[in-house]
Amino acid sequence: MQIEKITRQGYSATLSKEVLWDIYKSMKTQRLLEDRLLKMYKGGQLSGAVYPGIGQEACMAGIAAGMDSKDIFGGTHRDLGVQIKKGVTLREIALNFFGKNDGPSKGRDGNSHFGVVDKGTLMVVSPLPDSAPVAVGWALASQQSGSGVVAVANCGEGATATGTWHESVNMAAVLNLPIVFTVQNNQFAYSSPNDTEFGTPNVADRAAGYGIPAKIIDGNDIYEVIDAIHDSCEEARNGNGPSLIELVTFRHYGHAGHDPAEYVNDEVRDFWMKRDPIARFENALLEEGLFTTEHFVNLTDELETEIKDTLEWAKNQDDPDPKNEEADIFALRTTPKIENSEDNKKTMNYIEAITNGLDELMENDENVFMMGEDIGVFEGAFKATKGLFDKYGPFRVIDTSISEGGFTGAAVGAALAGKKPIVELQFYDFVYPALDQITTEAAKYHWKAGKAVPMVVRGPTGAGTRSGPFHSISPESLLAHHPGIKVVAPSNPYDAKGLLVAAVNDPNPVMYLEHKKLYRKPDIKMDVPLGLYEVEIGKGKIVKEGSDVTIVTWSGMVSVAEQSAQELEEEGISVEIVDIRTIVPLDEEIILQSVEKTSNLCILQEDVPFSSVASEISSMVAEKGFWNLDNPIVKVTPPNTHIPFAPVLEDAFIPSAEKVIKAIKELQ
Amino acid sequence: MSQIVTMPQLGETVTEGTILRWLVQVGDEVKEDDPILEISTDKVDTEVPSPFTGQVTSLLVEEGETVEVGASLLELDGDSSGSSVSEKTSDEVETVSEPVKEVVEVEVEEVKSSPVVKSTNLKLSPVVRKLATENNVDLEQVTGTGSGGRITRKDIESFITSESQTVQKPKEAPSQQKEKQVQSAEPSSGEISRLRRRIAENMVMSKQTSAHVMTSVEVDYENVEILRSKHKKSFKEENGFSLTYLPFISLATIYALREYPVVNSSFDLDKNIHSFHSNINLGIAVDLNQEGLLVGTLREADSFSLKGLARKISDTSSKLREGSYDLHDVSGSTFTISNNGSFNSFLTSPIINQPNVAILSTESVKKRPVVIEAQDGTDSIAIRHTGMLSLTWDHRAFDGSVALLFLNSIREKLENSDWSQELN
Repeated sequence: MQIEKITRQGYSATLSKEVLWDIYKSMKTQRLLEDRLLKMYKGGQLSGAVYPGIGQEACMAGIAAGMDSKDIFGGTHRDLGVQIKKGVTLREIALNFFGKNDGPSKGRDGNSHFGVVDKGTLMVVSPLPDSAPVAVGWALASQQSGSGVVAVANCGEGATATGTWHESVNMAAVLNLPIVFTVQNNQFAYSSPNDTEFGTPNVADRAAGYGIPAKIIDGNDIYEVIDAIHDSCEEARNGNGPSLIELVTFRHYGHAGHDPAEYVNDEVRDFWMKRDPIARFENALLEEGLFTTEHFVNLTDELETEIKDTLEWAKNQDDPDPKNEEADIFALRTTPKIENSEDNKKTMNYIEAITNGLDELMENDENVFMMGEDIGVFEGAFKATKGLFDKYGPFRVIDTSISEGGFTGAAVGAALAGKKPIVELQFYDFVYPALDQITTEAAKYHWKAGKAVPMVVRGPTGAGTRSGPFHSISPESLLAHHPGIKVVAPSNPYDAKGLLVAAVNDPNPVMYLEHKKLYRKPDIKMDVPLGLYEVEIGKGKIVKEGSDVTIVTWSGMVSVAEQSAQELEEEGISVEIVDIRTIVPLDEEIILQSVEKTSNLCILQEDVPFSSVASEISSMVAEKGFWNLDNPIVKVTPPNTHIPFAPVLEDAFIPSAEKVIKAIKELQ
Repeated sequence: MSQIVTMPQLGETVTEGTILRWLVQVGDEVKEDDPILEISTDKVDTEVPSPFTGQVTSLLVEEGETVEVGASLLELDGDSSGSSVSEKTSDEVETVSEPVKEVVEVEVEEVKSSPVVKSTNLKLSPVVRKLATENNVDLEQVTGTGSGGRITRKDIESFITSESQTVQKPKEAPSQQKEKQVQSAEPSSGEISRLRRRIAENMVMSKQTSAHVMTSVEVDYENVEILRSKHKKSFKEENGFSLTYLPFISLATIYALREYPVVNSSFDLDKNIHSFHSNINLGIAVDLNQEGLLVGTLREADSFSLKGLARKISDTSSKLREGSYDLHDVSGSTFTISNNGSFNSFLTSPIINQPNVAILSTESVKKRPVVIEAQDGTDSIAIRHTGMLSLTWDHRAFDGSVALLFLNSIREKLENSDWSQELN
């Protein structure tokens, strides 16, 4: 078979013999390792899956070789070659494949689904290209701090059809970020050929739509890949913004170990086998007289032994201990709680307390920055960022495109890069497009990749403003269901600022739920301390003591509980109100103690009832406080439906004091 | 109208009962209050009177079967006379006295129409059950103010606060003649009786709970013996039972308990509570003719005279041996005496009756040679009535000095008190 020739011309022509050998070695390591893993998988010695990138070695090694060592790479499960060239060891890879305790993901994810952030590779997850917004965020942090780091966001051509990829490229283009988008077009998304995936002749044609430059290169020519990546990275590093590189290549095997790839016809296969990246690289090295066939043969022997030995070694390492199943779900905070004398106070309403908190947080720590729609010049839909754009400028109060998934994912990347991002969702109803990034990336990073993600997602929640089904949700139950994220919901100005400060200083993703009906509610105006202070996350508060019945509630429903309590008191029923303030982690103790005192529990929430926080609290008390109950637990919630617009319907939907009083009177 | 008779809850700690014997058959006509079966629970064996009048349509459990409180036992076809007076015909009118230990399954609509509802007929909430158990409350006596007469937490709390725990005795004291087990030379095995099991569980529980230590002193009973022999005959004639050492020891113990209230306490390490009892409820261990052991309680024993104590001890022992007691007679003791002397013991180390912190064992009193020192310092040997008093006490609650001071206080009173006034 006649192998297509390659020659080096640009940046690659400057590389030394040693550097070239290193690149060759990483390509060869990837091929032999994946070949071995595939055989083990087919022989039943490896559980999970194998996603061989054999045939794409030049793309992977070339991307890594074209990047600077400090640059960050966000890729996919078929990027082991990049990880190897970035310095991830065979041992780390082998441990992860066997799900071992000392592997990069501690056995929490298998095979090639891992990253080693300290070596410059972001956590690999299955939904693709979910690491793209994260890479965008890292680039954003780099732009802010001037670190000179470039991010490379890589995926296959199939993943470019997602909104996630579009939002990432668009955001990067708009913000002129130091990032390079690479697409390894290996002809098939699993089994689907190019013409079923996109309408343009090439993936790269899409760059015009974002206003960024693009190249289409031969992904099986190692020199061309190195040159293209290097040039694009340097452009990005120099402030010239992102670019897109389409690396045309071919996957020798199927999508995964189980896939025989019968959908590839012989003609296509023959075309690509003549362009095998390793054979072409070997020929070029021989032609230049840098190495001999003996070098290649010896290296193969060495690597085969090393791979075999390493896999054998890894197999016998410790499995993770099921006792630690729940470990690492949250990063532990190591910084002290922020306190001040609270002597200097100013009367504020709820939203003023939030704005004041944001202002002081940004003033106090230059790593704190904000992203969201219309939060800059316009100062936010509810004016929560009033005065902040003028004070901190466009690099710290960033107006984003309408890309909830994109900028929430970017917050993850920025947090990983050392920033403390605060994301504003214009309405918390728009958390749905961001949920993939919140749950796939933010919630799992510390658990699966050992890296803390200190970020806050804040925004208005709740009904009562005649805004209909898409501007009114109470998302606490939706969010609380996912391990790895904290959820807070303050009910008054003091807690609003204190919890915001605590949320920004927490090393974990915190969902900060504001209630829009409270923003300017005059009767909850109160003295709020100036200067930073915290309300501890995970601690509820008794807002009113009583002896006959406990109402557990939070956020906008606290004032409804207070009104109910007042009326019930007149009838001789003494009500204790617990404002839990934090949904996750839940202050079980304060609830159980109150129930021990009153023996009666009413849970009041604005969120719909089925599978909700109220259900969870009810279940918790039934399990842990059963012997203190004198009546069945009651929940006062809206009906299990969507939030309606018509005033008469909306008013009937939201739990009222009348409903609470009725429910409590039916106890006894 | 079909009616179901259910397993009654005879005492708040009782969770199940065994059907000993059916006293009625399918087809029998039964009047309200007629005995229909005999049951055995943890502490009491009793007959269950029918709460209804009617014809037995089915027996739902077998003799010997153990079922939970509330389980259906028997089905009757007839009047729901137990719950609705208005439905009765004139010839069915009977006594108004409240049935005490019966449990009646009352249907909801009947509860609503009934002005007075027996509380135990209704569902009890978890906290009411917990408080009742913790405070030894007889729920029969708590008036429910909740919906449909349900007992609420408030009801039980105000009941405990008012301490109005007046005991109602069963209308009839059913006595259960126990068959003596025939001693057999052949090896045999069988189920452990309910009482035996209860004793066994309590003994092991106590040993696992308290840090048992036994301490004893020797007592010269000559002072008591002189008085006892003097009044022996007249006492028996007057009261119909013998004057033993036990009332003297009990009285001395009551005085000593007043001096050392820590011995009359309960100690709960788990809950971190040490409670000192305001009353002295003296427990007296009573042997049930070698078929078991029960502790009878002399409530507020510190209000009795020597004679009163003697009578109360005698009455309680008889009641327990006859099986004609109720829960009140066998619960709530704050300190216990085990009268092992009556079986000629020399020294005993009894197991503490929880939740007491000590138990006194009286040992046999015998004539023994004793060295007596005269006032001039000369020694002589005399024959005196002496015996040991031993105390097993909980080292968690107090220490050896208290135990011995307490024991010596009893000894000192027995040796030196002038009891003659008490018996005249």
